[in-house]
Amino acid sequence: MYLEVKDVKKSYGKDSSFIQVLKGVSTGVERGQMCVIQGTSGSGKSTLLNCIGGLDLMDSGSVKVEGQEIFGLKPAALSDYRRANLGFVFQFYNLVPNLTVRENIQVCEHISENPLNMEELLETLGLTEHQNKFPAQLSGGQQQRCAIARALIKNPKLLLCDEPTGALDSATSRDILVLLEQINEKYGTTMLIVTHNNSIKNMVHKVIYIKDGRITKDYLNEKRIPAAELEDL
Amino acid sequence: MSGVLAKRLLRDLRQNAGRYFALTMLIVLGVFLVFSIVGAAEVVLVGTEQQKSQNLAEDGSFTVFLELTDDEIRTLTKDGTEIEPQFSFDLQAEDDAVLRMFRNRERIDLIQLDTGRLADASGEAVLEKGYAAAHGLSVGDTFRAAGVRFTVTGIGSVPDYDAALSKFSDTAVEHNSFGLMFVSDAQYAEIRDQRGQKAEEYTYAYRLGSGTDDDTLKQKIRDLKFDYTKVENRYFQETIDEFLDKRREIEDGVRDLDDGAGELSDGLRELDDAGDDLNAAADTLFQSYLDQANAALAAMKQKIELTDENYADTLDTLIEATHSKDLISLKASLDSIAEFRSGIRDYTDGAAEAAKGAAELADGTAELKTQTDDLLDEIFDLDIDNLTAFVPAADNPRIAAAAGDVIMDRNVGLVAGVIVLMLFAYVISVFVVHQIEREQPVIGALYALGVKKKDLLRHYITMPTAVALLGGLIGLGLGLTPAGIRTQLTGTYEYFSVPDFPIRVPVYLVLFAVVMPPAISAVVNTIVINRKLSQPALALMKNEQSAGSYRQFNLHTKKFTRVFAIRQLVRESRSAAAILLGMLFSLMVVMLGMNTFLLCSRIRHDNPADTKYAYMYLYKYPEKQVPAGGEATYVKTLSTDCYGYTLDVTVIGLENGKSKFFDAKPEKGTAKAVINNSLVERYGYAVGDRVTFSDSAADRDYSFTVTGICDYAPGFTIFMDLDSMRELFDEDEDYYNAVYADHALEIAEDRLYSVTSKADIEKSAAVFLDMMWPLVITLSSAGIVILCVVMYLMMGVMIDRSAFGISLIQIFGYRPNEIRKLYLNGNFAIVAIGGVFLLPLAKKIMDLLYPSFIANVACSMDISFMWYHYAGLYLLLLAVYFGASLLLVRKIRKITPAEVLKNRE
Repeated sequence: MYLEVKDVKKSYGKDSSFIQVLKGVSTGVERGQMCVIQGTSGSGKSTLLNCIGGLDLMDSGSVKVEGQEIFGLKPAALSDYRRANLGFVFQFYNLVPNLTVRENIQVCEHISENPLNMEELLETLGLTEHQNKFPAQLSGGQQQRCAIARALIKNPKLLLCDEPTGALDSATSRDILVLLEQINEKYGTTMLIVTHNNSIKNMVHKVIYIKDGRITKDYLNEKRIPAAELEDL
Repeated sequence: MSGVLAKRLLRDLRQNAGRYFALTMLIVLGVFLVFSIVGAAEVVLVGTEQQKSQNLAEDGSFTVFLELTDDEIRTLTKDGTEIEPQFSFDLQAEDDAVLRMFRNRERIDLIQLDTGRLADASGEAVLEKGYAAAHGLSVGDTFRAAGVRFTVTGIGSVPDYDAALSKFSDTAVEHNSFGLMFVSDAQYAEIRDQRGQKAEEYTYAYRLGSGTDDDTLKQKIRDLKFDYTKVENRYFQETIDEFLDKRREIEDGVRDLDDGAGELSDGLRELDDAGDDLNAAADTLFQSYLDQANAALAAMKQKIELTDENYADTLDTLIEATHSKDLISLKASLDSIAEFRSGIRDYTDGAAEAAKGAAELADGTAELKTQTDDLLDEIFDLDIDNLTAFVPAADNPRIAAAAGDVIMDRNVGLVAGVIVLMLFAYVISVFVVHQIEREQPVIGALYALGVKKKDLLRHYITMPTAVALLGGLIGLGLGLTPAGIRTQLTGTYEYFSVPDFPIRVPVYLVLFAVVMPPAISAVVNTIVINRKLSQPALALMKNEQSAGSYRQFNLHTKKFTRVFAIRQLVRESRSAAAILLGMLFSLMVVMLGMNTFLLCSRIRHDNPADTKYAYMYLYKYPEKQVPAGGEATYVKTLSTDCYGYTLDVTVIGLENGKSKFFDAKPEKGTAKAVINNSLVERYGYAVGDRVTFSDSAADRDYSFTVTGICDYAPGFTIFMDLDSMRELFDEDEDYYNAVYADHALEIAEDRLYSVTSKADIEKSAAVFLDMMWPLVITLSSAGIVILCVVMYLMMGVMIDRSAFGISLIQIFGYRPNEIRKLYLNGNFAIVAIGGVFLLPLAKKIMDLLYPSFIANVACSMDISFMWYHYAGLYLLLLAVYFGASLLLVRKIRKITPAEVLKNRE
């Protein structure tokens, strides 16, 4: 198992404000798989993603990526873990506004030991002609492409996407999903996608449903539909 | 809604406690700095005025040769002027000190006691507080003066000896060696009657009546009849005698001439009177000869009678007839006697004429004598009156000296205040802009929900304004503690002899402390928030950054860290500008302290270093012969204007344009002078410039062409060729009034106005630094602390603004030192490069302003920096930066990746 999650618990607050968001979540994702985590607001899907990404500390349990345990790592080690293994794509792109497209991608290229070829990546993501533009000069789709390029430049083992189409219209969402699919095929990148969108589950290898901090469904999608053919995006 | 909003305030305070604390510190420090410095100066200025009023300070004083009579005092006080004798003796006290003994005062310059009571019995005395402190004397202690043991009954001060200078010409107060004591009338008389005391000084203090002035009183004193022969000072008499000798010589000559003419006239008159006898005798002699001839002719039986009229013709006839040799001989004898008689007649006629002429001559010389006396009265106008000194209070260096001294402090403090306010205004504007931008979505949401603009305005103004008010109040409170105004007053109280003034702070300072900070905060906030609220609510909620928000330009460098740092710098240009402005303002405050330190320390060094003489003797009554070993010069005081203050300019005449004590080589010429470097530093004069100074007493200006510049730091001084100076100021060709020497000369004390030694110069030069030290420390330390606070605040703002970016790159796996490099190295570049430009800029600004701070002091102004001053301050700047960075790294560490998950850029 490339990603192995075991009995992860996470809570916030104390006393009357205490809330347990993850109540012992266990699952796993194989290398090269695209996996969707679905659930309603407050179900704990983003918290699970953050715990896997080392952005949030879990109370207990275990998260292993390629056999490396991240529970109990100190912030510096977590930082190195993220640096070596992960790529992140966010709903609102989170590009550095005063850097150009190319420079935004360089942010991650700079700390990567074996980055992908910048020109090729730009070409793959259709950003070559936009590489010297600033985020504010781009459309939402272009910005998300840039965010994906930034995440991919490190050639991460695991790409974590938090609502990657959440801020995009239907057509653009499809474009982005097609792109992710292509990347998965081209680079064999394992992807974990958190989404509300019910259609996206159809294009991925594995689907996890989470409700009130517990996994209610966890299955492999045997009938994958190419992203370009997804409906109701 | 405003009630609900108000609940956010405390949360906001808690959330940004560090920043509000730093902001409060900035205000506290700024207000404390200004309040302490200016407050202390105002306490002295106001206190001096109150003391003068309360203790009936004199309008001036005058000293006379001979004690005024009651009639004379009545004449002088007819117009309502009040006069009180303040006679004094200088008594030899212990430790080689001199105590000037006065009677208790009743009407003018009253003694203000800090403790104890006035002396009212023999053996009791009140001591001036500076002397008492220097000698460790308290009420009840005893001391010895003029061989008499006194008990200290009180310790205090008088308004006419703020600066307890023994002589006006003294350069510095020395409480160890000079002080004042006040005794009862009886005790005073008792000491006066002792033998062996120096002469009593007949000094009178006056308070002018309404409608009169100093000049009128002075003229009245001059108009009093004065018998200078009663003056006992032998040098005074010697000078008078010397002056009158020339008159006496002329008078004696004219008198001799008159007497001679009289004698001549008398003699000739006598001669004239004797002329008739002489003529009669000559006639008798001739007649005798005729009688003798007639008798001889009768014996010869000649019936001829010779007379005066016929003897010549008769004898010629007879001689022709007889050819008698006797007759020829007789005729020759008679001719001879007739000729003699005729000669006598001519002589007596001439004598009569001469007698008449001599009488006229005598009349003439008598008239000459009378007219000569008138002429001599006019030429040798002694203009001697009873006055030896007339000193209006404004010209008295002892009076209100402390007030004069603190004017510089006040000027410096006020400028520091303006700088601090500007700094505060800028910092708070950056602060507020940052906060508003951070809360844009909240503001937008509230705005959209219908919260009124004025409510939002009030909400966002409240906290910074309250913090500013609190900071102002704390600063004011600290200023009132012993660390504030009282510390600034320490130097004044140690040096000057003034009462402990009550701490009364002027209204404008309270307003500065309490009103200005919140007012500035409110105004800046209002402007910024108003601008923000002019955007649509939706734009605010979306926290939209337009494409134009960031400067779009391409960078050619391929090095990512450099690209990132440049982009970051440009993005944070406003905060960067705030850091730079903060650096500039705080460096200006530091420069103010540094300039003051350099000014004082260089005066302390340069004044003694440039003083090559060991003694300078300024004469009241110059000797005919220059004392051996001395270099005679002519010293005169002119004046110049400096920002409304009148400052003395000393003119020194050098024999043949050279001196072994001054490096100046003035050329001959009544309009040529060499000026000292103090004038160059203060007025920017250069060789070839035309400079003009005034003689206020003569109401005349003198212009000189600068022919050279001399390294001589003490005061404002110009050097002239001695002969040219004598000619310019209409003095005799051998006149001098000052002697410089490299060793002590034996010159009678009574001849001199003053003796200034090199040691005096050293002491007075050191006083500058001693007095200014608290100001230097306060300004420098406050400047540095303000620099720290501003740098921390502004860099903190930059970090806050970058929190999202930092959080983001943390997610990507950046390590803390990589983050520091990306986000703080740009700041280092700002500080490092900015420092290179701002240090000289701050220095330049302060150098331009500085002359106005010392407008009332005639001194050199060498405040130039050496390379190591710049280097030291630069290192300090970097140290402050690294200190602030160290704190901010902790701040960066506190930023978690979760930021990115909560916020959006």
